[in-house]
Amino acid sequence: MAATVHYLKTRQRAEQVASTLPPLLIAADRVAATVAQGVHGRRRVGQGETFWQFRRYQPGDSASAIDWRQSGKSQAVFIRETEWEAAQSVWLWHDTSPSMDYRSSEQLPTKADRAALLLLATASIMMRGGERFTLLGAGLPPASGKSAFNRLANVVLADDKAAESAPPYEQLPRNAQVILFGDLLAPLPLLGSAIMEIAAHGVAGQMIQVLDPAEETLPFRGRVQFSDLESDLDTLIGRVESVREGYMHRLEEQRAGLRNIAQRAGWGFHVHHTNSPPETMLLTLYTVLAQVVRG
Amino acid sequence: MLKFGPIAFATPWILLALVVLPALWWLLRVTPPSPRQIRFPAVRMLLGLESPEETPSRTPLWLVILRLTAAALLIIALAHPLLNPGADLTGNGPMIVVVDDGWAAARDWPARQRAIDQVLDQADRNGRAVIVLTTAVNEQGRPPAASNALQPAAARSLVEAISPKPWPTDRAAAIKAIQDLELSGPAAAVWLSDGLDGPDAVSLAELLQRLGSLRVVRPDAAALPRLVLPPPADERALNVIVRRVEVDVEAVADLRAIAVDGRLLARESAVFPAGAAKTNVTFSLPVELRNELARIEIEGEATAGAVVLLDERWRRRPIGLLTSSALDRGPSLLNELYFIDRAVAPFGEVRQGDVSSLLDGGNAVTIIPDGHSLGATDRTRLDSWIRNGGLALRFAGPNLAQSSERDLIPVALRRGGRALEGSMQWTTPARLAPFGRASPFFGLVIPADVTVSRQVLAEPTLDLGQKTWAKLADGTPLVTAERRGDGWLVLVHTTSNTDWSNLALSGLFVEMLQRIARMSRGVAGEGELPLSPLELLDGFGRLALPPAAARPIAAQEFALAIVSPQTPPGFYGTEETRRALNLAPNLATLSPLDGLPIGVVVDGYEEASEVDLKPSILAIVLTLLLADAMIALAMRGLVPHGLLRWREGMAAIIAAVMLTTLPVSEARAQSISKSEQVGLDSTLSTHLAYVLTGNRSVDETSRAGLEGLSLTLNLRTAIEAAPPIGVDLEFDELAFFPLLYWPVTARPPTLSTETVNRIGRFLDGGGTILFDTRHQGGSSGLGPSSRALRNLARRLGVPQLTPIPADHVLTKSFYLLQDFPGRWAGGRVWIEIPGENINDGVARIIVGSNDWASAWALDRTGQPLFPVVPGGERQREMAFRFGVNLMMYTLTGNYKSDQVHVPAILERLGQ
Repeated sequence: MAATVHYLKTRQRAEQVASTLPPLLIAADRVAATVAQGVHGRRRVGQGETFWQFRRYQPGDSASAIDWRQSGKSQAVFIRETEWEAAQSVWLWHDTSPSMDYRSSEQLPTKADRAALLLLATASIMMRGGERFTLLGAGLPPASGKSAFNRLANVVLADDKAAESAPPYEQLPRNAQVILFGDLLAPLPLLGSAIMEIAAHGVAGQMIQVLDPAEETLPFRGRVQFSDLESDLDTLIGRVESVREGYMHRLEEQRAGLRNIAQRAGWGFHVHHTNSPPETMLLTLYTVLAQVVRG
Repeated sequence: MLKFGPIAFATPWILLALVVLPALWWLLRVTPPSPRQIRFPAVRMLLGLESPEETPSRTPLWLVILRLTAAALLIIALAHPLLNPGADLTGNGPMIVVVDDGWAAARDWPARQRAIDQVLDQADRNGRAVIVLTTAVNEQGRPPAASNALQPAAARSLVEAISPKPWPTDRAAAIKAIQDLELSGPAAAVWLSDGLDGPDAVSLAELLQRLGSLRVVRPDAAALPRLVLPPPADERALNVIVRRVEVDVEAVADLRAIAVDGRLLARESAVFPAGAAKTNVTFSLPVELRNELARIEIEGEATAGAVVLLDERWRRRPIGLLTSSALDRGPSLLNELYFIDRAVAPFGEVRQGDVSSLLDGGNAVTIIPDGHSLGATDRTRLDSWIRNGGLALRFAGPNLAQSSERDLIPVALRRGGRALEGSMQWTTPARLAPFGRASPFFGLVIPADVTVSRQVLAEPTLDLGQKTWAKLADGTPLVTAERRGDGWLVLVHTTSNTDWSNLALSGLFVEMLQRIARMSRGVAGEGELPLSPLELLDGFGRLALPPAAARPIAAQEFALAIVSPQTPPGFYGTEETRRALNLAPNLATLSPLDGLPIGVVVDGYEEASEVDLKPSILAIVLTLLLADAMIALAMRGLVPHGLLRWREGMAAIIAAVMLTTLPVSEARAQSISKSEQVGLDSTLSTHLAYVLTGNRSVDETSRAGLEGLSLTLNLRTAIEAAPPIGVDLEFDELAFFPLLYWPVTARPPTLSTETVNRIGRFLDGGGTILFDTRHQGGSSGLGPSSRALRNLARRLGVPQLTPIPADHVLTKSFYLLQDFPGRWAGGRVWIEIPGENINDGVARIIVGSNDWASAWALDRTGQPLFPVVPGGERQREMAFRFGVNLMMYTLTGNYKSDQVHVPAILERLGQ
């Protein structure tokens, strides 16, 4: 029951967040039109349907495909073929390890919740833009439409997910896009190898590091025994204030390593905190994706 | 025991532990609190990070102080502090607790139990053994005996079983029990006395003091129990004497007269003037109520002495006297009825009338004088009445002597009678022979000067001897009786006046009639059978099943029976014929316990008692420790953002505080009292008021009716009437209301004297009462409520009434009216005869039978609740108009009658 409620809530929130942005493709068109004025403008006919060519009617073609206006101009019967718009397939992934199940305050969502929300919001934009998308490692082929979104949402919000803190390897099509959501706190070599493996096939991608503000600033004080969420690791810090500098330094090192990996793979890298609104992140992501799709 | 002013410590050595508090301080300061536990995803990043400095792991100062306070309070609590500690115990022997558990101890028994508890607490703290001794003979009749030396805990269970007995203490036996004690050392004795002096009270005190020390606890003289003495049985009114210890304080004892089934019949107050040891209260009850009376008790005083049980002897029976004509009624020394009337009056209620009216009236005895001639139907009725349980008493005389009747006489009579004295006789008038054992007159003393000069003679038959109750010295029967069905037919063979005998002049005549009357209710005289206990009083004056040790009392000795453990006070006999044995007549005068030897500590029961502070302090410690636990949890971060958990924590603390029994006195809300509130409610606006009869439907109708009338008044007149108020005559103040609507039911309330006075004050203060007998058929005086109204009127001293004159103010105080219909029409309305000097000529009493409230009653939607008879909205309208006129009349008085003269006055002014 509670799980169902949670499912519905997350999904609803994801769609709500996504609805504030126009469908990805229209926006992409608009962005593209703004960026590359005049290059494709003459070819555009009608709304959203790109004309490709006229071709002689051949037996077997659908009668409804005949363009009567064109046919009336000459003896032959023509059918109208639209441009085959091969939408990019987008592969989404989110970190499902226990370390994501953390929040420093009751007012904040857990990192896992926020990652799932961002993932679904992105998928929702894709859906309305007609893009094909799927979940990395879920074994689902990329698809578009509401049903694909529903399927995706079911998998993302399912309770029995295998814990994985780095994206799994999967053979992806050449011009696929990968978007990774996670805290990306796993050791750098592990993350690096996983990402380079995917990127080796020329797959473009984005890495979004979702962090709790407490992880950023380590706001604790006094004697604290920290214990890990995933392993038995624990450490007693006599005075947390005194190690804050060191911790932040290490976090910065991790982030620099991630940027380095992103640079090598030609991917984007973004940081999102759970105390900031998801729309901000989504807008950034949308901007980046729109450029990638049309650019 | 260590004392600081009002506080003492029972185990003071534990206070030494306070010395370790500084050490505790140091320990608390150096022991660091355990680290907070935080689960954190990025622990890997923290691994190996060395903190250059440690958190100064100190407990905050305020927390240390909190903990030290808790520790200090714990030590103090263990030292067992006491507020208002009792006196120290002397000696080292056992503690002797003497408890008076006679009848007098029952009055404030809970206070005694608390006192005993405290004594035992003290013994417990001092580690003394306890010897318990009760001074009254116990239920099995064994004299008081001291217990063994018991541990206080064991003594407590023994003491809890003590309850007051319905008989006096036997202190002489207690002295003997104490003398038999073998004590190891000087004892500390405590005597929880009932405060009454007795023959051996002082010697008991002296003996106890010789054993060591003595503390006597006794109630305040004003709080000593009081005694109710049974009223003399043969008086018209019940005169109850209440006795108390002679003190210089005025006191009031409220006496309640209670029926067999527990109903309250009457309540009267007995006022003791200061310095008086006894006072007198008179209950005057109608015969019907008096005959239901089973006990008289002092309200709120539960002792066997404050209860008087009443049996058949106190009942007054309705006695019917057959009279043939109205001429018989005049008092005359020659009249046959005169002597009977006078003789019966002390114990019975005499009614006169013909056969039909008497037999319908439900009387117990019907007396048929000789002069009364009976018709055939009367004879049949009388006979069947006797067979149904009535008792008919006939007197002989010239008529009977000459008649040849056979049916309504117990024995066959010789015609003509017999004269023992006369001008032609030389015999002397006969005297009475002593009464036989079988006779109901057995035991009565025969005055020497009672002689019989003429009588009717019985035909000698076989059963004549059995039927004879009294005979003359020569053996001829004087009183014969025959059992007929369930009743008796009794014949006195001489006249009821002085024509044939001077018996009627003697006291014996009264006693014989009384015995006969007593037979009428099934009391078959003083039987031979012993009277076994039926229901007996316990120590608190409650009737209960008799204990096993109670024994029957021989019937002949009952009058002399004395209350004892074998014969406790209560009812004896059978359910039908029960005799009451009362405690109070057996007791000597009450006098307070005084003259105690010097050196005896005397306490009262209600003095500032010891308060054990230990539980309260332990509760505070518990609260502090809980708070400390919560704080510790919070400091370790285990109560992160959980407001919810804080709430739970607070709930836990509050629950802990509530669970611990704090002996804190109840805070009393300071607000205006209930009676003040009632007064305010009643006076801030004009309310109509009705008398609560106790009959719910009548009360509801009254309320609805007055509400309907209030509505009408608000709509039509300047009177702004607030919702009506039901008034309980017994308790509520009446002075606030202009008009009291009093629906009279068949069972009117029993009014105490106080209530009657209050109603009188209400009337004198300008109030008006509208009595409504609420029955169709006018004020003909028939019907149960009319009879009830007559009784009420007699009780209230209602003055003479007159039908309402045609030109009375009531006919024109607002509307012009000719008659005053209610639900019924046509009933006559009566008012007090107006006199100019009483209440300004305004009638204080208005009596009618038209059931106005029903005519006025409206439901929520304004629809009438009851149809009017004969009917028509005009009649209802007239009923409302009567209500309006009535209210105007009560509020404005005779103002309108002055207005009548306005034209004349104006005319005169114009001239």
